[in-house]
Amino acid sequence: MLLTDVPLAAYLSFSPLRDLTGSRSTTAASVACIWDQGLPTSVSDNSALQIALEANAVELPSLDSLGWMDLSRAVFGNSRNLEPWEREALDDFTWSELQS
Amino acid sequence: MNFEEAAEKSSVIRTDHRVSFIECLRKIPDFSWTVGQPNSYFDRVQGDFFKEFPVVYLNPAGDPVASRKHVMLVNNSCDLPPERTSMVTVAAVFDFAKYLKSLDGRRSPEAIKNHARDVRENQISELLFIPTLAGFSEGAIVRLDQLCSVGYALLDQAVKAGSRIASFTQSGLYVLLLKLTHHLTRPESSEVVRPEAAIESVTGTPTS
Repeated sequence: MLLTDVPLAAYLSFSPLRDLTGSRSTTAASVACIWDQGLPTSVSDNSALQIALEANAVELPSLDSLGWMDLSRAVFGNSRNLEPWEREALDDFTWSELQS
Repeated sequence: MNFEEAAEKSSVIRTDHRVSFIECLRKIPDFSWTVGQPNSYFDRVQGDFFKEFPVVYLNPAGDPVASRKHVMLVNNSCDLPPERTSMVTVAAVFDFAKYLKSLDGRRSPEAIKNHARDVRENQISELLFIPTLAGFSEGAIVRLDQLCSVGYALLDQAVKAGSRIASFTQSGLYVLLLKLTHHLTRPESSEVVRPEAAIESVTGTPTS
């Protein structure tokens, strides 16, 4: 799915960062993203994303800086935080265990 | 978390340990090499696991919840000699199999499977997964966001009572350090904004 006029940072909220690392495959739908100010292009699969990121390594001036920061963290490794349902489940379990 | 990338950059990995550590990292998702028998040279080191250790936490209502759980010792080994501290920090250890069981019906089997995979691969910031620990058939999870301070005397008693059940291997300790580093000191997101007024209130110096 191609999204238009969406800041890169906003795109990231749709896709877990862990799925953006080079070692993981991902679906086309989940990696459609738009670069700020129209460069370089949208990307629709992981290999294309890697190519775009490599291009970004030379600091394309038009790339949104916020998006660049987050994407760099994706490339170089970033744990994810618990999703809300996971945190709730973990909290329920651990409090139960502590009180048992 | 890309452990190998982190290992290459981390200053806590001794240079002469780096190659063997990376060899271990390339076994991931197998983390069975992280924990072994209690350290035979020192009776208390960072990351040691103790059974039936007293812990207390404040629940969301503010009430103390006291328990006896298996724990992991968080303190740096250098701070563990008796003359160095009066308090130690521990993290409770939970049974991964029981946790997985508690997830039944909370989400789709696929979602639970994915969550379990991420835990096992140590990809969740606040969780440390230990696959092999006595008494935990499918491994154990340590909540790095759920720490508890207790008096040093309790650690001393546990050591003397022989309650220590496991220690980290050298490479396993590095995994712990990377996890702690990442969880507690990872770079702040660029989305986090600190208003100028907040900076001023801390420094006492007007910023403009």
